[in-house]
Amino acid sequence: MLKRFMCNWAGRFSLMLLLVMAMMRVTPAQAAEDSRIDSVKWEQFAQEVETQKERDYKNGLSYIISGSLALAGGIWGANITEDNAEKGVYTVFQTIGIASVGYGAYVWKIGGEERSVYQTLQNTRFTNEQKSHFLKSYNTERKDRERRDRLIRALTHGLIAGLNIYTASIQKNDGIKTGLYFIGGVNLLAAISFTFEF
Amino acid sequence: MQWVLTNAFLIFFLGISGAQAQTLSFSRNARTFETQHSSLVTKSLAHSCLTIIDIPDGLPCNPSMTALNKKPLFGVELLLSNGYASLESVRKLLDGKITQEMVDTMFSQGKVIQIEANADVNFKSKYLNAQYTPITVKGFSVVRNEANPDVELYAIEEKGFTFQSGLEVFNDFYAGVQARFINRKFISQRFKLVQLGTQVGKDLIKPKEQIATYIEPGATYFLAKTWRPRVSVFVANLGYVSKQYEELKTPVEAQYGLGFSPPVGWGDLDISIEYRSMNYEESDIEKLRLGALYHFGSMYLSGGIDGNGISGGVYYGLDKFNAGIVYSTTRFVDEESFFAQTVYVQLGWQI
Repeated sequence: MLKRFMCNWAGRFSLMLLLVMAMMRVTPAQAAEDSRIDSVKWEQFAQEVETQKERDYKNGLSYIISGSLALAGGIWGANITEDNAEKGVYTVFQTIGIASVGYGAYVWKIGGEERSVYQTLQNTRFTNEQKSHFLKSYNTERKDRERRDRLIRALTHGLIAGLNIYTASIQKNDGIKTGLYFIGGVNLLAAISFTFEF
Repeated sequence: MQWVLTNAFLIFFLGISGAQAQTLSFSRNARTFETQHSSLVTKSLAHSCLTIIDIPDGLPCNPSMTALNKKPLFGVELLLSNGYASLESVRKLLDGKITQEMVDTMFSQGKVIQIEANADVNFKSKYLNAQYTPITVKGFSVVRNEANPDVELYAIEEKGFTFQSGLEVFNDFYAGVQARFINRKFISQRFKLVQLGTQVGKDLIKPKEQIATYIEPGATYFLAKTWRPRVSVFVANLGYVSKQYEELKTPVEAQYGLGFSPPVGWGDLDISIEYRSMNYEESDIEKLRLGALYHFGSMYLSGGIDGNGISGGVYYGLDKFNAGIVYSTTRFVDEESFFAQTVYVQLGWQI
């Protein structure tokens, strides 16, 4: 009897393990993406970064202009309104405005990591083939880092979910209990989405 | 395409001016409705949002847009309209705590109270959207007739959850479903002020309760054209309510939307023309709504027009913080003019 029970559990465990392995294995889409990243050529990378730089310029400028409008509008609005809530919002506009200008300048002048890698390689005397080799190594490293990042995020969200669900289970106030369950549930979803790359 | 749009706009505006000629039973806030829970940007769009892909401060109005979410979001939004000084009185009223002092404050002669306050916790992703609303309060009261004051009053408090999911079923055809679970407490009455002096009169403004569950499907089809034209359909209020009340109707309704995204040099522009009810007492022409949303950098400029009025606002969002303000008109009884007197403000924080 005990043996049969243990076998059933062992069977269920194997099935679960298989399911988890199936879910965690590399999907065809992921494999295609990996192969694309691995086979990236310097010329292609350079072209992509140049296009990205143009996009960053436009995007950055958008943030600078909209941020300036938020700042000007915020100052003007806060001066003309008598209402405290409106005044508060206009003051937040001013802060967002300055932050937006700063963000825009960052996007325009600095941009993502790829731009930095591109510029570094551009300044070397490497041949195109050597640059491609470097890019391959860089992309592999980046993929590994992203994987570790996802794992850390999944764990963090999982822990937040566990903590909130536990606190909710012992909470007496209904309103707070529901809120904590919601935050717990959402973090659980986030943890699942980071664990299994949909 | 432009010819079709021009004609649609003409028909729409002629219809709106016809709707404006009608008189209402009381003054009405153009963007607050008893059973409609909406974000700041949605209000600014005159609730013409079924075809809008990205609602920056809330869940999409149509669950079929879920699959088009660009990045995950988890945040809190707090919305407040002017008249917020009366928020506590309205909440006390909904808790059944009626005192003479409160009656004097709320129902003094000629006083119009309009208030809306919402708190939302939003989660958006490519597969699932969720919203927890710990509280949303709406209140409206107006007192007329000096000799024997008449009060028109509604107050409603809701809390609940909304879940949305959707996917691309075929090429450019998206379908989704929304589930809403709501707990409502409300008062909707017209009475003589003197009646409040008696117990029977006080019973008139005793809050009623309702639990509602709605399962609402929606779909959107995008045409592969430059302006990205799309048609949306959404079935609202399909579900179950624990108790039916004559004064709080939420009938099932099929809603339709036609959206465009004309290419603009800088930023993104979305325009939506829709046929949908907000308070279920509107005529067919009043159900027509027009909204436009322009996204540029950290700024979302929005505007909308419908039979109830005009609204416009700006919303700024950058990384963790966001804030927005919307101004809308309010129409008064027997007066054909609009008054830009309702202001909504919203503050948000994203994790």
